[in-house]
Amino acid sequence: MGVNIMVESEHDADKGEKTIILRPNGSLSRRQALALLAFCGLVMGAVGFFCFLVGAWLVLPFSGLEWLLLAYCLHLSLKQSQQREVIIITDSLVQVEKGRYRPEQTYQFQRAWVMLDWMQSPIQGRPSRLALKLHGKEVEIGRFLVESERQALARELKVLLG
Amino acid sequence: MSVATHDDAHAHDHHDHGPAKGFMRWVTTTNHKDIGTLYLITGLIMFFVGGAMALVIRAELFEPGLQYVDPHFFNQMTTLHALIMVFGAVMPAFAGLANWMIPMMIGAPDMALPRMNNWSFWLLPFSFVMLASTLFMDGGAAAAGWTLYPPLVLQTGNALPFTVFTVHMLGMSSIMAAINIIVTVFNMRAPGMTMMKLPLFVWTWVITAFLLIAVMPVFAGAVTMLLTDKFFGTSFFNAAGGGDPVLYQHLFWFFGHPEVYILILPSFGIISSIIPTFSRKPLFGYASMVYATSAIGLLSFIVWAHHQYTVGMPLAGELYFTYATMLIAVPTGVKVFNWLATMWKGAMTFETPMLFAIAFVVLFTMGGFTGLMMSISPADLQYHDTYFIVAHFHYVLVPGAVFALFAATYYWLPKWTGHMYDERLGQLHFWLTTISVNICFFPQHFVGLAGMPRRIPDYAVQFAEFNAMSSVGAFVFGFSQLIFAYVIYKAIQGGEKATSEVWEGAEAHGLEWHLSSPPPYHSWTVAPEKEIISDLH
Repeated sequence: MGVNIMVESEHDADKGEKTIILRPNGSLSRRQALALLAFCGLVMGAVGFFCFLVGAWLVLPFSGLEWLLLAYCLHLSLKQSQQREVIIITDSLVQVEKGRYRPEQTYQFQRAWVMLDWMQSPIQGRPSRLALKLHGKEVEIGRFLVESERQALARELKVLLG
Repeated sequence: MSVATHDDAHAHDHHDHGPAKGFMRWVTTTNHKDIGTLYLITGLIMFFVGGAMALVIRAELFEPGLQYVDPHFFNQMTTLHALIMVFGAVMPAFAGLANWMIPMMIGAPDMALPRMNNWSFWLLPFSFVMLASTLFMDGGAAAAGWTLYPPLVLQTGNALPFTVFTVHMLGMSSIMAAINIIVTVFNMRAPGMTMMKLPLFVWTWVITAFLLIAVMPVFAGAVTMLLTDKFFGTSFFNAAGGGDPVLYQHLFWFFGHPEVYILILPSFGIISSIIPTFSRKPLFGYASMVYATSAIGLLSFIVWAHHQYTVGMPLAGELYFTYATMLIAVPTGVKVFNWLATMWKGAMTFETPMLFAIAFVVLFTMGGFTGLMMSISPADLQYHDTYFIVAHFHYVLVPGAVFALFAATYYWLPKWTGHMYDERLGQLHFWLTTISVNICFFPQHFVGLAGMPRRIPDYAVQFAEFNAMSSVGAFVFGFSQLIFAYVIYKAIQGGEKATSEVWEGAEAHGLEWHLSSPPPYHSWTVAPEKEIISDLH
């Protein structure tokens, strides 16, 4: 269950553009979450409806409220895993877009001058930090990645920005 | 373009902060370990409060006649003892273990909804204070048993609405904890941690969480109907107004029977973690354990009326509930045989967690067998409402759920505190507890079969010897638990440093053993690598 590829790369040869999409780990897809909710709704609804039929109708509103709470909690958790970071590298620019369903923040750097800053933590087991910076402007990328994926991303960016 | 690679301690301050200081740390914390600790401490305190009530009961029953308390207070004690042990001790303790262990076991940094986690804990202390305060209200606390059957419970004085409100608050807390666990396990597993890689403890808690969200609304609805019958003139359970008191029994046990499994399934998960570690073998039949747990969860919904054979039901109903109940022995048997097969030819050692795990397997199975006896409806007519029932469910819940909690505490305490516990005291605690629990509850089978009813403060002289034995066992059991509290206190204070693995070969059994002892305040800030997960048994 779940999709675990957190770094996807696309190369558009016609435009001379390279796109890297980063997303956090989320072991539940939207479709699976809906299936889970439907299953829980079916069971809780059946129990509540059966109670209603035997005269214990007060069970039904409690079942409904609980199902709504479950749906809201799943929504909140899924919202977290909808974060995306898109790195677009053209001949002249490096653009980083951050957002959930659409770009909410956009950062642009001149490709020729941008610096890739990779800071290892002195404490073992702590995450490293990867950032693009130029002239005092800095944007951290891939904070939600697994360490090995962040290292691979750093290597790939190093080659691409060469 | 240029690339700069360097070490920078300051850049990581935002990842590296430890806990806040002082009392407010515990009030406002959203950290899964802090909340787990709060749950566990609450569970231990309530275990002693509920235990003290049990000792009042056993002191009164030490000899025939009325000695220390009047019958009404005795009934309040049986009611509150059960409510506190079920909702105050065992459930919060399991929730504490879930909070501590699930994120560490699935490679997540915390629970999915940390603020809700805080709230679900902090509802508990207020609920218990309110429940305890009913003892001092006009008419005393509820005295109708933990089942709160009408019409008896409707005779409760001012305490009734407070008892019902307590049940609602405890239900809210349980539901929020259950939803948090479901969302965490489904959406926050580390890459590579597939469902069939999950440790059994996590699996059993997921199934428990589903049971909780399925049945809690039924209990909430049922107690609300009690309230409306008492104060708003409805007649849900009032025969004079066209209602039916037996409907409450069906509603209660539709909740109550899965509730029994809510108390025992996480125990199965704990035992399935401990036995492989101390047998130095992978768990035998992992997949069958998962399916067996799911089957037990499913069957728990369709057997509720075996608690009510004597209330009057059609013969077809009695037959159905008899066979359906017997069916539960099949997946439970799968589990017991798998634990035995795991131990078979293993390089076993007998540290305190393993001793409690083995005692669990033996004594829980005994409780299971008496359960099978009771599933046969014609035979149950003799057992119903006798001390045989008391013996049965205490064998399932004390050497069952409570022993699993002891085992879990000894197993994970070095991981939590970073110090090994005192093995000598642990073994002393085990032997005193195991011997006394049998002295306490085994004789209750005999008095029950001979006809001694439950929930009475006085009894015929023919039951005197077995009751005296039972009371001696209860007091030894109760005071032995002070050793347990001292062992925990001592390990928190210091002692031999524990390694990250703690137990030889444990790293192969779970992700939690790959973290330091004690683990960092934030567990998996760097998700575990897939190789580590794929190497797990």
